[in-house]
Amino acid sequence: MKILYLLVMIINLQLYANELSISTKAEQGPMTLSENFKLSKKYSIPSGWLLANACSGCHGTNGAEMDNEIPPIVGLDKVTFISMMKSYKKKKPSKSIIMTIVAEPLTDKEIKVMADYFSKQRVQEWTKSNWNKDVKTPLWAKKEQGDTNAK
Amino acid sequence: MLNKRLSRRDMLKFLTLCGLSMVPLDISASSKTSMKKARIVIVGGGIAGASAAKYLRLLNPFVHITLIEPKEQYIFCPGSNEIFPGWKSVKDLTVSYSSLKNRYQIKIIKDIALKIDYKNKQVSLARGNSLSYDKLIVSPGATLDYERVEGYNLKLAQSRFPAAWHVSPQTLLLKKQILSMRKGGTMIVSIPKPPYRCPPAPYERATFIAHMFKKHNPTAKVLILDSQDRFVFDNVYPYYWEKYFNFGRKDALIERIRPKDGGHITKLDAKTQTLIGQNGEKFKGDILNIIPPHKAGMFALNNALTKGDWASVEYQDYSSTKKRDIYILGDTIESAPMPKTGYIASNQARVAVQAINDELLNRPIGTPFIVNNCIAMVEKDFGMTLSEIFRYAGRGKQLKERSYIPGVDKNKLQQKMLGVLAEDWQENFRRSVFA
Repeated sequence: MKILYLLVMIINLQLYANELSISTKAEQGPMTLSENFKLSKKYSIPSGWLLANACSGCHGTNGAEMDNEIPPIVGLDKVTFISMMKSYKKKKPSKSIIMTIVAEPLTDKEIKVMADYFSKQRVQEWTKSNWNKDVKTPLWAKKEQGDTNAK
Repeated sequence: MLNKRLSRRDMLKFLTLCGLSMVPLDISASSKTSMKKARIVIVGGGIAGASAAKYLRLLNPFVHITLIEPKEQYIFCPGSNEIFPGWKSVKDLTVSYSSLKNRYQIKIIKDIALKIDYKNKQVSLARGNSLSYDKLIVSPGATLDYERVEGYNLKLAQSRFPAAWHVSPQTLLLKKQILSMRKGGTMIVSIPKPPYRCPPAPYERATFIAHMFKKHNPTAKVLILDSQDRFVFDNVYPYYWEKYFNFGRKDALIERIRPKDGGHITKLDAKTQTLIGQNGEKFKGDILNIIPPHKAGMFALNNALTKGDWASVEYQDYSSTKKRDIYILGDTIESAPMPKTGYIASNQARVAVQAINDELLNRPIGTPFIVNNCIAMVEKDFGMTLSEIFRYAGRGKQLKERSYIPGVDKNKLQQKMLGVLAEDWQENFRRSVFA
């Protein structure tokens, strides 16, 4: 009886602790990785253009954004691209958490198609330096307080 | 004629300029003629519409592309919470349409699209004339449904209780209220039930504002009234709040009320500056920042493209399930399990324009592929990230999601690097759509 009482106490304490502590664990789902890979086999592979430009939101159109911390991927040779992506998938150089989680659900075939696409693109910065030179401050924002604007 | 006619030589020159000379032009003579005549009209020049215009041009140098957009310039929402602490100005987030116009030969019409004449395949404009289309892309964004919170409306949002959920004069009004709030006052951020634009944005806003209060009004409080139990990055924000804002304690700079405790707001009493929860719970605040529930853009609602609050589409190509030759993109569609984000809108646009191009060339439509990536800031030297992939699961079916959201990293450098990358990401993203 005493043991049972103790057990209940321990379980209660743990529940209480769970309620209080804040979880900082990674969240993943709802598909498992293997469900994700299985589903990818059910339909034809997306085009190289589509797969490669899904990267454009971060790496720029055709992977050719060149002037900041996010590296360009345009023109990368296939072997390098594939080996980098595969090492991200294995979580090996964990210094890029972003690429580790981006590469994880991609199939080897998808990575190959991306590699093929990027390797064939001309290495040339996509964005022209004057692309947004003619932008104007909206009239209503002219009086915006700039005092805290220091970066 | 919508666009000036371009010769094949002009187009080859244009392709070379774009760095696309290695794209093979496998276009047969017959489909070339039909393609030259193809008129693609896009309603709405936000992230989805602008992406559709640019990336369709990259796929196809011949089609006529017309973008209908009433505003002179576009202001990005991603990054706009940084306007409050002054890390960004409105101008930093503003882009012009000149690259779309000049580099990608998109005809821009500054007007408001009104009605679709489905029979004659025309769309009417506010100034009176109509445009003919072969394919119409509908990307009007989401409508903020202020009145779904009883007692709230656009007029109140523009005067006393700014929602500031799109970048507008409301944004600067809210900033002014934050900077001039009485010492020890309470600012309320009320979060609607999803789907709303950018799921982590309300928590980001609350966090940035808590930073401001910590500096110049440390006894103040940000009170989050939440319509949802779990939220994106709830494996990061509460940790940070606990560490820097005493979250969970009495003197906390941020407090969060869950739905079971009245966090889901249904009513505003403007007179007493009080928000009322679904069981009559009352929350009084010095500043009320009510993020209103959303619904489809008015253009979609007014043209019989919606089922309930949202436009309905086939996820293989984003074609309307209700009308032929109509494609609907971005925040205006029923998109579960995809959240409403700019990143997703731009990827939806690429899926749709590839499908449109395939159809014009009599090729089978391919498999869609949607990714959502986000690099966000808790503060300048503390970033976080998530990655989601949405896979095709067959015609008529929702896409299937695989997502990964890392928790807090013990390595502070990692978190700091993500903060730096968040800024770069925003700039690259803006360029990927408009440059």
